[in-house]
Amino acid sequence: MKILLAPLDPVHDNAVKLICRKLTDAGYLAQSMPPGTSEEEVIERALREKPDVILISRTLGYKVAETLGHLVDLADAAGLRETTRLGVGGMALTREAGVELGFDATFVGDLNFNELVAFIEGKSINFAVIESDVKVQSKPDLTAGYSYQFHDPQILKYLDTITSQILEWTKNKTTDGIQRAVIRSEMIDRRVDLLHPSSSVEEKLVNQYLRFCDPEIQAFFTEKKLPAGVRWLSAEETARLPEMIAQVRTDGRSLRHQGSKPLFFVQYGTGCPVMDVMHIKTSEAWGADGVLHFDPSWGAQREGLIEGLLTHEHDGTIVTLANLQFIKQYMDPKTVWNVRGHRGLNTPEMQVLGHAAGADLFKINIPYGSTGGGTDPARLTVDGVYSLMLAAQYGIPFDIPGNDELSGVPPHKTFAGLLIMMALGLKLGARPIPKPLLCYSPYMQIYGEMDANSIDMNTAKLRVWREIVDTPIWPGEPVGFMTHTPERVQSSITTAAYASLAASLGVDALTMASSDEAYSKGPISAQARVDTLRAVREMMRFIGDAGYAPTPKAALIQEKIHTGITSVLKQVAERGDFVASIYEGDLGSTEDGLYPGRVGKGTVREEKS
Amino acid sequence: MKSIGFAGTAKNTGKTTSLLSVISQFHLQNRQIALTSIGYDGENRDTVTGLPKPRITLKEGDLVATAEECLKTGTARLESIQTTSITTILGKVVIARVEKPGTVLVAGPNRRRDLEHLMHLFTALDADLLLVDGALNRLIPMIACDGLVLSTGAAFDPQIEKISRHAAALVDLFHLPLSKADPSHGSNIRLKVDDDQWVSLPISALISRESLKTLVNSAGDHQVKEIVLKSAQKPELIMEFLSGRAGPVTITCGDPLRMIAGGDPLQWSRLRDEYNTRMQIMNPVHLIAMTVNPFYPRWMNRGFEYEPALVDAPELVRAVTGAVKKIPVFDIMQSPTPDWVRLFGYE
Repeated sequence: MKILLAPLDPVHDNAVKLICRKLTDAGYLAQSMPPGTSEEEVIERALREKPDVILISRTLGYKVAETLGHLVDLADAAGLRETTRLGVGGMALTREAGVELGFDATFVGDLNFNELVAFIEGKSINFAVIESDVKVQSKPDLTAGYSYQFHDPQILKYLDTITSQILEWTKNKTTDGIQRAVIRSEMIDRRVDLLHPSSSVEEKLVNQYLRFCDPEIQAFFTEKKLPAGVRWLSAEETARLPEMIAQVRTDGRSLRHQGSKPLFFVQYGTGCPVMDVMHIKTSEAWGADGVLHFDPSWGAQREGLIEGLLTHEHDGTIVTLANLQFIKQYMDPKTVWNVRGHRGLNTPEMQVLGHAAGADLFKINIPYGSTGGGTDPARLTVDGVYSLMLAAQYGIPFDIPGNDELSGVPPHKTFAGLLIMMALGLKLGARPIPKPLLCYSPYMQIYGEMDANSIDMNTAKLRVWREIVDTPIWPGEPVGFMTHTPERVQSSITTAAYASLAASLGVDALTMASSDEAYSKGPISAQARVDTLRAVREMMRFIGDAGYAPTPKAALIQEKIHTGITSVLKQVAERGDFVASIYEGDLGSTEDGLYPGRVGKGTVREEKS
Repeated sequence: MKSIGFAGTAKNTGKTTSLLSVISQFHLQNRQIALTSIGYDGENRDTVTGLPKPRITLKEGDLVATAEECLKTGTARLESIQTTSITTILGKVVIARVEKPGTVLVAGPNRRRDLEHLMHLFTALDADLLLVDGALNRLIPMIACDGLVLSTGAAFDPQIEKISRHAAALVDLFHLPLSKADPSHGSNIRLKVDDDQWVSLPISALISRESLKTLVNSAGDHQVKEIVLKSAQKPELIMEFLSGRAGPVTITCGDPLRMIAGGDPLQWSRLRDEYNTRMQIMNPVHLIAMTVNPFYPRWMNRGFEYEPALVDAPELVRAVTGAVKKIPVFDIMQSPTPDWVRLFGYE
């Protein structure tokens, strides 16, 4: 087949030269014209050469559109469109612009050779063609291939002691949170609509549920009283979503330059499920592999969850089954979904709802949730163990965020807490994913641990995990925390740098914030999300299969963290009371900036036999 | 079935606004319409400037031909009647009936041959009036239409004097005398030389210096009496060919739209006025009216974005009306609204 390539640009013809070479290598008769070619010259040459396809390269801009439209018209006027198909590619082009211009194909973004060949061969271009480049047919399992074998027998021994103590202590203990989770699970199995129970049996279940709820939650169901700042989503708001989503285009490209790791996650929680969907679709379109649902903090401080398609005017989207199902229905089937429930009074119920809505991952961390997360340690230990059992029952992996470093906790203490959660989950049959936080934490700032560079400390933080246990590792949430400023370019660059460092060290996933998230003066914008995703893609391309070279100091830091972890675990094991250890600051003290949580204090009780 | 095309001299000249004005009037009279586009219409933001665009609303019973991916993107509920063999970037073109009124996104056939095929299909469905929305400055597919509404305005050029001169030259092309020759016979480019002999040229279009060379070589020393150019042709090249040649010469072109696609109407005017030529066309296109739009997107360097701007609207209408003379001219943003029903012959 004969292809004629023409740059309508006065200077640039790199794309044309590159494509011409690739087509020739693939066996096509490809000819290119020089830069500065006019529309008339293209058509004249085509009338002479009679190509099967003409490919035009040009950046789209105002008045350039008329030039491209004129070329298409000229081709039609000269009768060329009877025999020759027209394709266009260049910066700022979209499929819709291609349709407006009258082309038969538009090539958006980076070259996808499969897509180009499909067009040349006259096959319909669809994303199945593009996705054959990246063979992700089903959701990846982050824990696959990991044995969870501990390489440090001393640490393993301490963890065994600690987790045995935890399980013994939580035996026969319950909370209202657990009771609600049990009832909620039954209601879901019976398809009970909490808002409109349709039989006396269903009403009885709802009433049983409400008995374990706070008055504010009860008032929502019995008096239809909405919490402050919360309202129902209107039919008009949700009806516009398909039209808005249809305007989001994706080329199916991943952020990875090569290979299948890491997976890239973004966090969402605008408060509005409709806006969340748009953020998710935008993130998917720009290469995100997964998303994390962030809920509002006030919801975690009430016993019980409200229900329905609800929006609210603050950060975090309310966890209701209706909201989760609404959001899920619009997600790409390949997108990995994490529903956060690592703190507060509703942790077990969040896992039940997350599972019912189709979540792929849970988030559970007792030490962090019961300090920085504000929940009473005793309460969250009992709820957390139950939640881990649910994770095991559902077969859903759980991730363990290490964000207590943000309060000032040194990494060895945070990592000790993550290891305890790992061991606890493993003992209960669940699959954990630790999340060391790559950040410029108060501890780093105060003690100058990252003054010389950001590579040594973060390399040490990731390598120490590989040294201790064979486990998936997922830095977040997000990477680069406390390095972002209100300036979008800086924020995107720092995220991209951290992401590329983590990726070069073989992590399995990482979480990124949008470039306006850390210091947002208002709602997080989709544009800022794209900034970050685009920056990450570029950085991944830059680093490729190469890596960073830490200084010899990294090994010293790694050893120091490892020693510190062992010391903390020894302390907790010897204390013999995990909850007391949290209260007493073994896993992060008031000196470090961490305080035990108070929400739910005194709500643990013995289970009646 | 009658078909009316809406074309423009540039983006944002008011093609779709004119189309909406027509739809509104026909709807008010409870007349059903059929709609398609040779581009992409009904989106809420311009694909290049990002400025707001008018939405297209259809009522129950209207027909629309649009790409598969556009079927579910508006608020109208559409019932697919027939999937055509016409392909676009956004999928095959589907003919659908509006079941529930609402907005539609329209992306139809992008070439003349496909538009003609679509017209056959609409005729078979007993559609009475087909409106074809244009795209940018693209014109050629509109050859298939029974009539044309042309839009121009400040988006073409912010200087009113230039708009009006260009409009006058443009409209003149639609009022050239009709050639008696059979358009289906003879080669795309041929010369009538001394003794009324015809010389056929081995090129299909006169649009570059290469093709001019072929024209010159073919003419040789013959006296040229007529040049027939059925497809695309550039007036500057004809002028270069005629320089130094004795006239008069008849220039016979295929149709006004190919003439416009080939060259600036002002250059065609120069060819007619300064080169002792007589111009005629083989296939007429009925130009019904012209609309003018004072709006243009002004590029703002400080924000690196476009902002809406306007020229003096009454002055624009006055200048273009005075220049054009042969067809009615309307400011599509102001009253009085054209009586489209009467203009299209539906009384």
